[in-house]
Amino acid sequence: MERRISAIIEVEGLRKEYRRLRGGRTIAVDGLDLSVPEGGVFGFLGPNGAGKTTTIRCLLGLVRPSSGRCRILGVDTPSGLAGVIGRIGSIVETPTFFPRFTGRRNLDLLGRVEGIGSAAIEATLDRVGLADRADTTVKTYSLGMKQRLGIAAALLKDPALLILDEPANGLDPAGIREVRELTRRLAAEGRTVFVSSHILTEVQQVADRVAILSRGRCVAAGPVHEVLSSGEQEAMLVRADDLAAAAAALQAAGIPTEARDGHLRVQIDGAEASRVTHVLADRGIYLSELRPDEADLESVFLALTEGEGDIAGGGSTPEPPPIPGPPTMPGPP
Amino acid sequence: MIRLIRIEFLRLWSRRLTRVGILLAIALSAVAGVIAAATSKQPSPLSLVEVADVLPGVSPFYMIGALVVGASFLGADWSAGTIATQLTWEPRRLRVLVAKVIALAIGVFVLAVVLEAVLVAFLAAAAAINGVTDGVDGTWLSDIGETLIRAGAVCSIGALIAMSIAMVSRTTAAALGIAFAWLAVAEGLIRGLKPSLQPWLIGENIAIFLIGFNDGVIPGSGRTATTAGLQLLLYAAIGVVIAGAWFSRRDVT
Repeated sequence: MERRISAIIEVEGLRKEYRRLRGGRTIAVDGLDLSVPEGGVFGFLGPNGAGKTTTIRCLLGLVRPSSGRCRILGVDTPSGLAGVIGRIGSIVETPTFFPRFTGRRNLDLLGRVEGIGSAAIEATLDRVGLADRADTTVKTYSLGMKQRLGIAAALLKDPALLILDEPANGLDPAGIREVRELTRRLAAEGRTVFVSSHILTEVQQVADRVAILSRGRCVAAGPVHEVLSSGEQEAMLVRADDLAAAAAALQAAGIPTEARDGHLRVQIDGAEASRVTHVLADRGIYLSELRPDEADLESVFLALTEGEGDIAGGGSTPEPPPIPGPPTMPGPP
Repeated sequence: MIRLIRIEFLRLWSRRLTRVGILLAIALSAVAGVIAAATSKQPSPLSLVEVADVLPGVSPFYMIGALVVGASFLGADWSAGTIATQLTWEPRRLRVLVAKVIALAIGVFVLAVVLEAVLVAFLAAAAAINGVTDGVDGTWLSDIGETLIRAGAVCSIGALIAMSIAMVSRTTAAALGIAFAWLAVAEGLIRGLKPSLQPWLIGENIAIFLIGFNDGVIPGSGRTATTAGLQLLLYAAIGVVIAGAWFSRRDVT
């Protein structure tokens, strides 16, 4: 029976500097500490350039850290990696294959390293929906198909740990949903899935725990609900016919208010929601909507990273961060 | 390790460049045979026994092919980025490199010997049809066999040197550029400016090794085919060691 490891990935003080050709240094990862428990889905979040891929490369022995220590499945990397690599499936950035070989041939060449036979290759191709195109050359594949082939290669080893770097890159909405469902299924099978992404809504839907990276450092980590609760203050969203009058009434009652997306965001917790209805009703303003403003990873992320870099709330391509709402509305004259 | 070597053999064989190169070499051999048969006439008809003397002259063309195969074997890995994918399956870099070296050395050796044997076969057919085959005996066969093995070894060494350069340069084009610039330009300059360094040049040692003796290639030098071969082997070994040291330290991004 295999030894159970409490933390399947451990990173201590990881630092990676790249020297520039014209002098100077770029710090990709700056003293990162990270612990990923066994089981479930772990979201590794950060804007482009935050150091996610460099961290993954260090974990997989592709990049030598400037300092610090990485452990994966209980062994130091890169020194002990060879002993556990058979239990690690991975995609690092855009998966790379021999473009003039077919998808099946590429998987066959990789599978032979671990003695994986053609039956497993067929099953994996089928699982990622590439069985029909398995015998065409990879250079004819779309980005999404390459991504599926990358996922197939990662799954081929029947791994205990999956490291997926931006697995939804290039996929259409249906493909993104498939990856999400696959991620859930893999975790339900008892595997640990470590997903790096800047598509926050995707991660929020599948992850049990997350770590948020900013400028090479971990700025938040823990179960998703804990990270969410560390974000913005609790608030309610209010909608009424005359928002300006409603805002003035609430400000006059000492309730901080700001306009946001056709609503008023009032900083008050749910237990005091009745205060809002009282104040507005007293002024003859009647609500059409009153609901909690639930924090999401995107707002927490933006608050923690101060809007740094590119993130996406959904979709498959990096998008600029959303424009924050206007400042708090002025009080009544 | 055996698995890795098998995979590299499979990859070498599956490459389009390898297959196109094989077809091209066979086609050119056939053309050479046809031309030899067509131009063979009295008083100096095509003589099969002289083919052994022709082979060292055509072997450099096979070596150029071997340089291209060697450089692109690793250059393609870097340019396609597949080296990173390979390392996520086998992270021991030196094992990966050794598997590539063994597969390339043996694969190119066998291909070069077989393809030059195909050329001999076409020329033999031409001599049989419209030439003379007198004097072909066991000694001739032995000479031809030895020449083919020498040619295969030179191609194999050339492929390894090109592969080593590709490991450092990370592109096929740069590796080939460096290899040809050295052989065609740098060695030419050294030959002209510092003739005393000739025994150390790759070109001279290839010539001596292919011919089988120092037939005035390096005047006044007592260099034998064996020492020339060992020196070429040493150059290939140095190249592979440098490639290994480079590969084991460099980040794969």
